[in-house]
Amino acid sequence: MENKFLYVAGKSCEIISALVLSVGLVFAYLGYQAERSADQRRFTFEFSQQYYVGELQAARLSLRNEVREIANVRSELSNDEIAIAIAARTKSGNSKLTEQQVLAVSDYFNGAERCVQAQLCASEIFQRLHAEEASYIRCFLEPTLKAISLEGGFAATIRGLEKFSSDPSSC
Amino acid sequence: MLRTHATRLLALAAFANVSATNTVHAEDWRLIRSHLLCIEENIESYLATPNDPITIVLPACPIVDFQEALEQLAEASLVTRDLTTSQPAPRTIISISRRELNCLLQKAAAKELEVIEVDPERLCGE
Repeated sequence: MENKFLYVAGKSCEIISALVLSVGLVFAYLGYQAERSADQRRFTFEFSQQYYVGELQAARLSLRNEVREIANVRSELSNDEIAIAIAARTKSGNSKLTEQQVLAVSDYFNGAERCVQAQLCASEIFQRLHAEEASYIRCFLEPTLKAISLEGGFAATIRGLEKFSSDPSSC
Repeated sequence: MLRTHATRLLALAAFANVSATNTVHAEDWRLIRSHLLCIEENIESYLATPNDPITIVLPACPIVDFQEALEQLAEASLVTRDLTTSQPAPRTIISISRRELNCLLQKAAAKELEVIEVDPERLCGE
């Protein structure tokens, strides 16, 4: 009788230990996930801040000025025509927007894609912060990127912009 | 069995959706015949530029230099549009390869219409 009691008590202890260990592991995993998610949010935020300073900020403003300047030439110009005009002016050096600035912007979005792939940045957060901007850039700079990409390198140049555009098919 | 089939269908639908969103369909170009005739008359000047594709400001023909043509366009008075039509405005700026430019001019020569509609992705096709 006593042996049976001891056996049951021992088994109960084993089960309780296993439960405690399992719950502990779940909490540890949740803690790890929460920490990782917080790190990703921080990285994503820090990464996206680069876009609003220095050379990238200058490139953004140059592009907006360029779009406005060409759109003012004739109100009927479509976005596609404005994009073609930007490519022609950038190539001939008649625009304040330089090829280096165009490449810097596309490099930024490619860098964001690599950051997501390395699981350092959160794709969803980056998309929420930059989808509209990526669509705008892709719309107006696609012909320019096509013109200045190395032979066969266009797909790689525009990959980041394509990934984060809210609607890659529209312009 | 049914479940596997349904999964396969879903996967195909998702693939089709991705393919559809990644394909950009260019709209047809509406081109004014007189612009194309001007390009044809000055084709040697346009082909003398080293660029391929060539970017052309159609209403500014025969000005070949893009920046000069854009300035000319800005100075010119706005073209009067028929506001009763829902048709998009005729094309002002095109980027076109040398080969496609020849095809486009051939197509234009074969038509008598004042406004010619062409698919920019099938300029040299049927």
